[in-house]
Amino acid sequence: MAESQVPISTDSFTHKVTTPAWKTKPTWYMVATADRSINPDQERMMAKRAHAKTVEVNASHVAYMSHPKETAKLIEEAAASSISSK
Amino acid sequence: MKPTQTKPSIVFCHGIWADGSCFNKLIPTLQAEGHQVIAVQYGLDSQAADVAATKRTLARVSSPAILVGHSYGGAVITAAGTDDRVVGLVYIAAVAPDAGETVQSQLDKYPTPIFGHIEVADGRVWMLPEGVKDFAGDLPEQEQKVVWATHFAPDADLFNQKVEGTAWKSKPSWSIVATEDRTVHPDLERFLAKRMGATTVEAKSSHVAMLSQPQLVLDVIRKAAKAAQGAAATA
Repeated sequence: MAESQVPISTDSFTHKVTTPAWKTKPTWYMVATADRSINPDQERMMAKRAHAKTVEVNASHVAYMSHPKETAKLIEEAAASSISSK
Repeated sequence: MKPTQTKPSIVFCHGIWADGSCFNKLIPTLQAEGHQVIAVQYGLDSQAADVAATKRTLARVSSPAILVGHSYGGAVITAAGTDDRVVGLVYIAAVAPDAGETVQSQLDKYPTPIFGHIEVADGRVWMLPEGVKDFAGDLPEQEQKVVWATHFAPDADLFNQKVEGTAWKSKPSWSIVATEDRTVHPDLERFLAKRMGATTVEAKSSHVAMLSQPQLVLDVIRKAAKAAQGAAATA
């Protein structure tokens, strides 16, 4: 994984989002409790602010790689919910 | 990393409809055998930018390095390979333009089925789902679906661009011809391999030989790395 990383532009992290989609769209959030790239408390704060349906996994930042089943389950829940709400 | 590293680094350059992770089946073995490895991630927005990204990435590993290009990545290593840090080139089912040629001018001479399954939209060239059979048709179906789901669409003008530099004229080259390739024509690959005087291996493979025949591709990279080591020892 370290060998196929995409370097980010230094501009990516200073660019401001003007209309966050989580204010208007249903939101799910996976908090990675052992995350050393984004602070888990920051993740919890954002999940709460977005009124997201939230799950916590004991994972590093790449939760989708270390916990693929849990991640897929959360995505499937989101997909199922968006169909049933139509 | 040991200060007296004797093995060359391996730097991978991906093609279109792929990113650096298309080499994931090769990377762990090369690392275990003592190579520093990095796969360049570039945007497929412009060839000049992709070549620049490759040169930036060369600085992240020790020199000398072998550049390995798949498909369009062959055009990238042809240009970036003139860099002094590069001591060998490996082409996997790849294009290799000469001065004055473009990727498109090479492909036009040898049409292939894949280009009947593309759509240009929003300035990018997308592979249609049924096109994956002509791109990676010898992979298990589940793997083909992943290849399609992660395909990275290039800028529609990318193949008409040309960056200066024809490294295969001055650096030792290896070529893997994919005999069942329906994306880059095998006869084009043979013609290019011969023109650059490459050490050539034919693989009964679709276009994505690094995914369908990783052991064969590893063997060729090992030979290129060994030749580079030998050259350094006698220099």
